[in-house]
Amino acid sequence: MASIKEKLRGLSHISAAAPAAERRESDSSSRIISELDARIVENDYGAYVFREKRFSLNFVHGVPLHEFLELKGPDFVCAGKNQELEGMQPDKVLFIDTETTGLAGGTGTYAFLVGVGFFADSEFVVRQYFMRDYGEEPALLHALSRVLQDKTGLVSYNGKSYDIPVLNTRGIINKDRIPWDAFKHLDLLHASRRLWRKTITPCTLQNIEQNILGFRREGDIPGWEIPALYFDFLRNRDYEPIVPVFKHNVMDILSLVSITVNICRAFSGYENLQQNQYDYFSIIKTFEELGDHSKAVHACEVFLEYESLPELVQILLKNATLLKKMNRMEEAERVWFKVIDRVNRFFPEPYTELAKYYEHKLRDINRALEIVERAEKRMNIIAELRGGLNNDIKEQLIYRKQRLVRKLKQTGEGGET
Amino acid sequence: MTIDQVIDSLKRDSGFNSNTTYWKHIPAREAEYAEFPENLDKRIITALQKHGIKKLYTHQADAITSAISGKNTVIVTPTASGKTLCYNIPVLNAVLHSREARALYLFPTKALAQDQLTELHSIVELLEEDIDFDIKSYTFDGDTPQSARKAIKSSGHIVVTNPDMLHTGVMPHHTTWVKLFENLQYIVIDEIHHYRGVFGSHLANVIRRLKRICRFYNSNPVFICCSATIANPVELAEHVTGEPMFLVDNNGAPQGEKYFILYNPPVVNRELGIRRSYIKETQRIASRFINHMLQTIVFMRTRMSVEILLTYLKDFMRKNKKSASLIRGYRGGYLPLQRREIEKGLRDGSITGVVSTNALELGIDIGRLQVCVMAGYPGTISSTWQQAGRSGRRTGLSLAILVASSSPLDQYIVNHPEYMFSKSPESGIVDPDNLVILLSHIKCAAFELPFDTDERFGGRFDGSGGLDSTQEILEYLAEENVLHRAAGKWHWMADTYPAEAVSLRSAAEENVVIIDKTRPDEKVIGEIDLFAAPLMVHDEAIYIHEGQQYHVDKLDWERRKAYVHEVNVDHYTDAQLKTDLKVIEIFEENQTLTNTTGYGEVVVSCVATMFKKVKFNTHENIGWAKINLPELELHTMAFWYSFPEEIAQSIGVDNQQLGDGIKAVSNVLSRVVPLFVMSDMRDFASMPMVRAPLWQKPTVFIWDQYPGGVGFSKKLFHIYQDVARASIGLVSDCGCENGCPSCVGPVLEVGEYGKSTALLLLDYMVKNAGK
Repeated sequence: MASIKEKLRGLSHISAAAPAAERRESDSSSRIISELDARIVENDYGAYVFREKRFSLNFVHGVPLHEFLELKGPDFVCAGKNQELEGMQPDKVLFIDTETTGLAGGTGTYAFLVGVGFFADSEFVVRQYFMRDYGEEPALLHALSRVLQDKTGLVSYNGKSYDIPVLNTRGIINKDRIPWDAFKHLDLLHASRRLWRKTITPCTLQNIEQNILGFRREGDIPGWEIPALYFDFLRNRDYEPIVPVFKHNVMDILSLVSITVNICRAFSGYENLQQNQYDYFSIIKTFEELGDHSKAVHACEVFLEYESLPELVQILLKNATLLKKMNRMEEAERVWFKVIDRVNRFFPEPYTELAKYYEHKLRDINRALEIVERAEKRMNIIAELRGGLNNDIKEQLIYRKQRLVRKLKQTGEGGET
Repeated sequence: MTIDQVIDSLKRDSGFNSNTTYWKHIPAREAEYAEFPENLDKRIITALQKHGIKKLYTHQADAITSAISGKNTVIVTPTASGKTLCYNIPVLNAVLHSREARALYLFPTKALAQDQLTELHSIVELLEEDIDFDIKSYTFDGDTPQSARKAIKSSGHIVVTNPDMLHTGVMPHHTTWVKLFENLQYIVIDEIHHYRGVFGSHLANVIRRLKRICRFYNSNPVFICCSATIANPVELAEHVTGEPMFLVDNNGAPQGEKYFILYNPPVVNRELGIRRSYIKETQRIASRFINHMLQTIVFMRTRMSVEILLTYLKDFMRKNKKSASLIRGYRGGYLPLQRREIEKGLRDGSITGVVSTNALELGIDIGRLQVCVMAGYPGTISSTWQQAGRSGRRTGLSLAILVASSSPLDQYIVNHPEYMFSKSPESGIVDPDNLVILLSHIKCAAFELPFDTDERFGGRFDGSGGLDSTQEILEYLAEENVLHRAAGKWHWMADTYPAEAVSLRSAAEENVVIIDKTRPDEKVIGEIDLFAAPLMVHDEAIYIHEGQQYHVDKLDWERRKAYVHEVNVDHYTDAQLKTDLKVIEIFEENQTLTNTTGYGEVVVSCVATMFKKVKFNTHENIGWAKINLPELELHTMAFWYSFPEEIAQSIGVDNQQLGDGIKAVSNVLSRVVPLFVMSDMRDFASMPMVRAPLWQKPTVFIWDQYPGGVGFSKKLFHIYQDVARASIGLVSDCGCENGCPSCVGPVLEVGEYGKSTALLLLDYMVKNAGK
C-alpha cells in the first residue's frame, strides 16, 4: 500500500524533495554571532538573539542624531498632520522596523528580526531581536514588549499598514498582545509622500536617503530577497548570508531618525528650505489643515519669492483664499489681481472671488459688473480657442451678470442698496 | 381565464395530454403552528408580532428551540416555508442576551447574501425600538469597500459572506477579526445541498479550518444548516461541518393546491429516438399561460437559451397586441440594478413572464408566481423542487410543468414520476479527505495557525476525531519546504499566500481556454477540461460551440490554449481515445459466485491517437490524421462490477454482442448515476472492458473525474443495484429501437444488439445481488 506521502507525490506531480539540508548548527554560527557583536539572551519565554549598537549623539547620519532630541510637539504635529502627536516626547519615542518572512501579509507572515531605536543615557541605542527559529518568537515578542514599556511614541516607515499589523498578528497568535493602539505613531511613509511625492519617485526610504540625506547604501540587499535569505538560514543555519539583513535593518532605523528631523525641519524651517526639493503647496496645506492660517499665509509669501515655482497659480490662489478666511480682504484682492494681471488671466476663480467681494462686501455693483465683464471676455477667448467652455463656469458668469444688471437697475445708476 | 380555467382546459386538451406522462395533484395544506419557545427573549416575540408573525410554524419552533439549546441543527424545508427565521431568531436572541455575540452566515453566492440582509434588517428595525444599541449586520465580499471593512470586522454582529471570501479574505487574516472569532456563537450554512462533490469537499475543509480558528479563540459556535429535500441531509451536514446534527423536517408552512405535470415532447424519429425540440415545446406551453396573463416563470438551462426563448415570447406578445415589456429575461450578466428592477416587477405583478437561468432558483425574493415551466430537467430533484416552488402561493392554485429534453436523465424522470414524487433518492456526497483538496487546505490552515506536532486536522469541537494522516501530510509539506518544524509546531515557511492558489469551485485543476481568432479582436468563447481537450480541440478538429462550427488551428498544449476560427463545413471530426485503466489498490470488494464488485484507487490514462473526418448524414469517412498529444494520467477512485467469464453463454449472446452490451451498460450506468448522487454527468466517466486485466472478466468501471475522487465511487459501490434498476427503466421505456443518445448511446457506437444485450446484463446485475 502506497504511503500518504507517495500518493501526494503522485497526485501533485511534485518531484521528490531534495534531501533535507543539514540541520547541524553551522561552524560559522559562533563566529558570526561574535562578529555581529550579538549574544543569546534568555527570558521566561525562551531564548533569542540580541544585538545592541550604540551611537554617539553627534553621529551624523545625514544629520547629527541629537537634532531629533531638539524636536518639539508641534514639529511632530506638522510632520504627521495629526494634532494627537502634540504630546510626542523625543525621549519616549521608539523607532521601529521589522524584517519579515513574507511581503504578502496575513497570519502566516512572521517578523523574524525586529529592530528598534531610542535615545537613552546620552546615546542613540539600536536594539535588534532575532529569532533563530520560529520557536523563539514568544521570547522575542516578550523582549519587545519590555522595551516598549517606558515608551509612548512610535516612528516607522509604513508601520501603520505593515510592521505594526504584522507584530499585532504575532502577538495575538502567541497570546501575548501588545496594545499598539495606545501609542502615538508617526508613520514617515505618509509624511514623506506629502513632502516629496513630486520630487522623489518612488518615495522609498532608500530614495529619500539618497536625495535628502545625501548618501547611498553600499552592498545593501533588496527587501524582496530577505524572506528567502531567512528560509535558507532556517534550513542550513548559516549566518553568513543574513549578516547584511542586520546591517540593512540598522540603516533603516538610523534613517528613521534623520528623515523625521528632515521632515519636521521642513515645517519649522520653511523659511529656509532648499529650493526645488519639496512640495511647497503640501506644506501650506498642512498648516492650513492644522488650523494655523497665519503660518500658512506666511509660508505662501515665503514660497512666492522663489523663482520658477512649479505650483505658482495654486499657491497664489491658496494665499488669497487664506487671506479671505482671515478677513484680510484688501490683501486678498491684491493677490487675485496678481493672478489676473501677471500670471494667468484666463483662470476663472479670481474673477469670481473679486466679483463676490465687490458685490457683497464692498457693495460696489459697478466694480463687480466690470470684473464680471472682464471675465466674460477672457472666457470667450478661451471658448474660442478650445471650442467650448465648461458649462458651470459659463452659467455662473451669466447668472452673476444678470443679477448684477438687475441690481443696478433697481437701485439706479451707481446707487447703494 | 383564471388559472383554474386554464388547468381545466389543459385537462381537456387531448393533444397536450398525449404528451404528458404524469399529472400530480398536490392538495392544499393547512399551516401547523406552534407556540414561541419558552426561553425566547420577549422582545423578539414583540418584534415578530409587529412584523405580522403571531405564531411560528412547527418546524420554525423546533429549529429555534434546538439551536437555542446549543444543538447543531439541520433544517430541511421546501422553498418559501419561512426558513430564514429558523436561524435569524436564535442569532438575534443570542445578540440580545449578550451584545458582544457574533454570527457568521455563509451563502453559496453573493447575490443571495445581499438578499438575506434585506430580510434581516426588517426584523432588526422593529427590534431596535426596544433596545438601546444597534444590531449590525453586513455583507462582506469582494465588493465590500476597503473603507467599510474595519467597522465590519470590529462591530458587525452578523457577517454575511460566501465560502470563497471566508477562505481567501477572512481566515488568512483572522487576527483582524478577533471580535468575531472570540464571540462567535452561530455559523449558518444556508443551501447546504449546494455544497456537494468538489465544492462540498472544499467547503468541509474550509469549515475544518474555521473550527480550528474558533478553538484558538476559545469559541464554540453552533451550526445551523438549511437544506432542500435530499436523501441524506443529516449525513451531508455532518460531513460538511464535522459535527453531529439534529434534524428538523416537520414542515408546518401552509401550501396552496398545486398541479405538477411531466411533459415529454413527441417522438419525431423513432429509429433514432429523436423528439421534438424541448425549447420549442416550452415556448408553446409558456405562451399559453402568458397569453392569459398568468404570472409565469420559465427556467432555461443556459444563458443563451434564455435569450432565444425571450425573443420568441416577446414576438408572441407583439403578435397578440400585448406589450413585449411584460416579458423579461433574467440571468447572470445582467446588471444588479436591472435585476433588482425585474425582481420588484415580479413581486408587484407588473411583469407577467420571466425567462431565467437557475439564477432565480435560490432564495432571491420575487414573490410567488402562478406557473413555472422548466425547459429540461434541472439536473437534480432538489433543484426541480426549488424551481417548481417559484410558483405557488400560500392559498390558491398553482402549476409547474417539466418539459423533458432528450437527455437520458430527463427521459428517466418523465417516465418514472415515482422518483420525483416519493422520498428523494438523491444524496449529496462529499469527500473531505480527498488528498488533493485536503493537502491544499492543510497548507492554508498552517498559514493561519501553526500546527501542533500532535494535532489532528478535522477534529470535532469536543476534541475528538481528526485525521490520522495529518502529521504525515505535514511532514510531506516540510519536505517540500513549505513548512518548518520548530519547538513542537509546524510553521509556514514561504513568501506566498496559499489560499489564493486554491479555488473552491473548480472541478479540474486546469482548463484549456478556447480562443476564437475569426476576427481581429480575439475572443475567448469557452473552456474545456484538460481531460476532454485532446478529444474535442486537438489540431484540425471541428469544434462545435453553441451551434457554430469552428476549426481548431492550433492546440497549444503547454499554455492550455486552443486557437480556432469559424467555419462552415459538411463534416465533423471524431477522435479516438485510447483509455487504459489500472487498479492500484482495492479498498472494498465483494466477491460472490455470480459477480464481483469493488471500489478502490485506479490510474486512468488517456491518449488521443487519431481522428476521422466524418461527413454529415451519410457518415462517410472522408479522411483521417494522427493526433500527437501527451498521455494524461488521472489518479482517482473507481467502482467496478465484474460479470462471470461465462456471462455471454448464460444470457445467450455471442462475444461481439457481449462487447457492445457492456459498452451500452457502461454508458447508461454512468448517465443514470446523477439520479442518486447529486452531480453533473461530467463528474463521472466510465469504461467497459471485455477482459479486465487483473481478473480477466467482463467488467464495467465508473470513476470520479477528479484527482483523488470525491466519494462518488464509494457511494456507487453501495447503491449500484438501484442505479442498475433505474437503468433498466430508462432503457426499456425508451422509444428507440436499438439504442439512442437518450439511453444506451447511438447505434453507431453500441451496435445493433447493444440495447437488447444491455437489458440482459442489467437484469443480471439486479438479480444477482452481491449481498
